[in-house]
Amino acid sequence: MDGPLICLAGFGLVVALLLLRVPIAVSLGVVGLGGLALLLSPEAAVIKAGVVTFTTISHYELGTLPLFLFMAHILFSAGVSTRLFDVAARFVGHKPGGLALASIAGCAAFGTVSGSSLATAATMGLVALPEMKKAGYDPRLSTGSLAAGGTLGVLIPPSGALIVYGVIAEQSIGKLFTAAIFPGLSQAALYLVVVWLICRLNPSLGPVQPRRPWRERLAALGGIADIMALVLFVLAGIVIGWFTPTEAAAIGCIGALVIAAARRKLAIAMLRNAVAETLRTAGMLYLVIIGALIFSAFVSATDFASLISSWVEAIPGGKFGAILLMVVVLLVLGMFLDGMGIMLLMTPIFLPIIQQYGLSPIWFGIFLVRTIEMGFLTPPVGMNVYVIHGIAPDIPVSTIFRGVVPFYLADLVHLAMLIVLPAITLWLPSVVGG
Amino acid sequence: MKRPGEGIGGVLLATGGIGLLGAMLTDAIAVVGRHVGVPFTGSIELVQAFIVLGASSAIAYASLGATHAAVDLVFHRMPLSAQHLAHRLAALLGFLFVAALLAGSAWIAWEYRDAGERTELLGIELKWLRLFWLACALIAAAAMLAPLFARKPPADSASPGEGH
Repeated sequence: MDGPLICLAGFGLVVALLLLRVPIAVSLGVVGLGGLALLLSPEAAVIKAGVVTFTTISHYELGTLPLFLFMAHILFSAGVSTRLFDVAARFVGHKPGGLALASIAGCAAFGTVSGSSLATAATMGLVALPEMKKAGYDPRLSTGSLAAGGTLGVLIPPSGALIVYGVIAEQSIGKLFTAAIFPGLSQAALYLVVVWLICRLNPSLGPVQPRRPWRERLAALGGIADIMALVLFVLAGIVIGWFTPTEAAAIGCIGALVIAAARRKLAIAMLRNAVAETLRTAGMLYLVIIGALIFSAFVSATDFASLISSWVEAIPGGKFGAILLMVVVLLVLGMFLDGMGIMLLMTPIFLPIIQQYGLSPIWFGIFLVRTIEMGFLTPPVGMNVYVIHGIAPDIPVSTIFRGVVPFYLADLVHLAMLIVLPAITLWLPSVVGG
Repeated sequence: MKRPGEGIGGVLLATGGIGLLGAMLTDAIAVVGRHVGVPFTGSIELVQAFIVLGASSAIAYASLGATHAAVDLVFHRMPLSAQHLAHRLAALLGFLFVAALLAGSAWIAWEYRDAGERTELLGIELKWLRLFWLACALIAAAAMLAPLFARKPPADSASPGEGH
């Protein structure tokens, strides 16, 4: 059997193992090791595993991941989640669909802390869903806006997915964060437009709430000013170049501890819980990255990427044809597989093609994460939909999927914008350097 | 989900916490030092050492808690006996994977045992970091193997799609 065929068999085996609920890290790692043992030698596979492991756990830039997770968990303990929605609701709650608008704004703000789609959907869902239910919102609008809004957590920096992509694609995490700012903001803006349009066509779907006086709005804003100032400082520091992403995460942790102390939430039990949650998530992600890097080494050894490249060259439409094909593959895979798994599986295949067409790997990172995000909304897996269903079990999953449809259409428009206008992604890093 | 907070879990929590807080403080001091004109020479090496401590502890801690991300698409639609079998397969493959990482790491550590591997600026001996990782990998491998001997799969094992 030749290399590319072994690689195809490897892909099939990974998918089969994933469907049998073998952890993502294990599926990628075991198949990668088996493939390397077959193509090179068992000895070479084991040594490769050792090299990849220690390189990964001592990787300076990858240290960004646990530190940003730590910052997020400290801030969660300081009560950041409930306040973000509350502030947005006081500002726009009196508009048609105002609480849905506030949910999306809250998700975007929460995304600057969390970096996770599921965490954003779950946290904002817990806070915003009861409020929208009480206000008589249509369940399709309330759940759809929260499930879609949750996906903002993946793209808006700091993003765990972008950190992982940066490591496996050997790209600057600072540049990726900088590049993600406008795509994240434009995605949030499109979601807001969707809610506005829905409620303009049928205002009864999102009834208006009493207008809050400015005194109350500003008081609420004051309650999150410290957190927003910290987040802006950390992101601005990366964009301007005051510090590296790893240093930014460290500064963010210190700031989060100061905020927690100022709010009288800093205690041994809280710190212990934040460390435990950070270790739990970071450990899972480290093992996934190690598995993916081993799998990536296997794919490289098969020379599969060059075979795919020659196929892609034959596709009509040049680079747009190739990108369209990638979109289709990613969206289809997104229906069945976890986003991180897809990214780790497909990056070694797609990235060389992107580079062959002279496209930017930074742009590709944003495109990849943005496309994969959409898998959080599509059946049958649609993780965000199930997260929201878990919070509101009385609302059928089919209702939530229907509520997501307008946002999914907005996602397609947004994706087309990112493809046709790469400047949305690349302009800011080209100006500030990242 | 099991929440390992006592025994080995407690030790990992402590070492992981030291790693996180150490990396955080070192980097923060380095940033402040650089901006006030007192550079912290070798701060990156120190941060890397703390990151090894944190990352190694994290992998073992996550393995003890059985929180590695998995895809939950068809598992619950399978018959119970098939679920049990798939659960054991996952445990066996998980053990083999981490055991391979452990073996490869041990092999390299053995090869470098007399090389006096040190960082360039601060001279931190890498063998202690490698040994710490090996100990954590051993814990992770054992934790991966444990479900193989469980009578039935835990109801909430491996939360799906936690990657994002």
